[in-house]
Amino acid sequence: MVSFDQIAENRIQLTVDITVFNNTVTTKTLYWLQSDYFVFWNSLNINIQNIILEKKDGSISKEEFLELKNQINQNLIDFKVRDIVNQETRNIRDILYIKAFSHGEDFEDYNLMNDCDV
Amino acid sequence: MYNLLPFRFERLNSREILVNEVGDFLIAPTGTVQRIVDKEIQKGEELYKDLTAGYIICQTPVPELIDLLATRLRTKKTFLDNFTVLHIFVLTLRCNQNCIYCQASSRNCNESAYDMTRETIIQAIDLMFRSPSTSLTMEFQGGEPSLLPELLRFAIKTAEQKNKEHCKQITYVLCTNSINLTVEILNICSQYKVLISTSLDGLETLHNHNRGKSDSYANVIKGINKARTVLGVDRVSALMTASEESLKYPKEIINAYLENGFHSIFLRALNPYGLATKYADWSEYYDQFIDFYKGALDHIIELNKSGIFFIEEFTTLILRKILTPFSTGFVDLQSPSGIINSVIVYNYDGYAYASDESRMLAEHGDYTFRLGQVTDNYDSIFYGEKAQKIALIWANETIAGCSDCAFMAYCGADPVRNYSTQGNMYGFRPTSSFCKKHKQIIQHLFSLIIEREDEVLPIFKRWINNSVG
Repeated sequence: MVSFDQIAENRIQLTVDITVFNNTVTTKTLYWLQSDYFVFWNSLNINIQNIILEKKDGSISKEEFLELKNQINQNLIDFKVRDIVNQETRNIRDILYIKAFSHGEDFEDYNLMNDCDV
Repeated sequence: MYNLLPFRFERLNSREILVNEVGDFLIAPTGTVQRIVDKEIQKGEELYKDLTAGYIICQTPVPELIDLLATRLRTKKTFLDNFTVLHIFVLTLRCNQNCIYCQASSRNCNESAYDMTRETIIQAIDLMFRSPSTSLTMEFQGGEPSLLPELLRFAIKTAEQKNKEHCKQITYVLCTNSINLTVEILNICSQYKVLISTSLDGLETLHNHNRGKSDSYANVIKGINKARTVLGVDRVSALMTASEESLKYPKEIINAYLENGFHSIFLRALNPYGLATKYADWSEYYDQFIDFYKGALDHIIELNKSGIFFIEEFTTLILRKILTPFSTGFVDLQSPSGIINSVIVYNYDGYAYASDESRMLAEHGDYTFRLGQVTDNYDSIFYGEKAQKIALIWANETIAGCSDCAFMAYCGADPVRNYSTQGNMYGFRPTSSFCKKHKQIIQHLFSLIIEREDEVLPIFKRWINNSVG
């Protein structure tokens, strides 16, 4: 997260560098905020995403601001870690599900070591 | 250097819970996951061995034991092998009680227009026997199915007759309020080894309040005792439904179950269907339910510690998923979803529905989950257009908010619930009461395992070994 500021009593603006936290990571982080906030999102430039969170009901207190800052910061990091795991294990997960549910009918036991040489 | 295997994680009580693709978990200090993905875990560390044994990291790109892991995954999903096992027959909507949380749109005792016809029963039984499963459960619901003993006997006799060709193992279950367990009904139950599943909300005042009757509790207890005498104590089980009023009495409800000779209870929250939809604030209700659940569970653990064996069945279902390699037959917490895959409902009106909740929606004019008529062919009901549409979003491995959740392997997908509470089958996890309730319960169980392992784990294991699942 590059910046995190309260710009109105019910609005917070944050900027995210997508070379650090990609769109998938940012989207997953924002997904869990949508019960309480409207999300407005545009690109400031090729790397920086500008996001405005508008509280659906009431204003944002100082405590809420700090809590949200911590929560978003932690969630960005956690979803980035999950994204790394997902990217690195995608093939092995596919193989696992194919092996588990193919009934051995249509599945050719191709060279797994080569296909999965990540 | 090692390779990663698929896993998910969650922070809890200053720890990290890591769960692999087949549901094995590892509790580790905060910062462990970051160290894992940064490839900082050294071979000499004890953690390295734990992560390897737990299928979270692997020395080779593909684990040497991948076939074993695939078998484990398949074991977790064995409920799919049998396809639809539970066949619910709604014999009638007629009922002799007046429950404040009725989810089944019950009718007065004399309204025979809401009875299932014999033709429908025959056709539904034909569909039931198309199921590939070698064992079937034929469950009778209502309304109050015991009001129609002749129809109940006809249904079971027809199934028995038909089973001479199929030789399947059939378990019969009568879901009844136990008010009308006449000699005739108990004879049927005795002859065909029918299990009784009844409702008991705990305290007398509470039970009567929830039933809208002053003598319901006395009649239910009388019915339960009669059934136990004729059929055997182990043939009668009970579950409670937590109305708003019930939430004030977690300990008292457990004690009432004990006093009535039960050694288990199923703590069931209200579902937002039928009359229960009148509750104004579901978010508040579920918050209170979680507190109620925790209070009741704590009391049950204390009872077990004092030497009284007593099981909380819902907890045991989740623990079986967490602590064993096996799946459960509990249709509400499956992925792919239990609807169609494990359960189908033949309604009194001659239509087949995806679940019990689906037919409840139909009573309010919403036929989204009506799969077809019992006269339709098997494939069009179980594999037809509607079933295919639902299938697109019935696995929590593929839906937003669930696919990254550490507790995915222990939870389930419920498109019907999503539809009825959020307006679409896909659902939105940040406001989902289903997600909130199950996540908090699973987190609580992990908290107990983390904070009170020596105390609770032996009890939890005893529950798993002594419960049907």
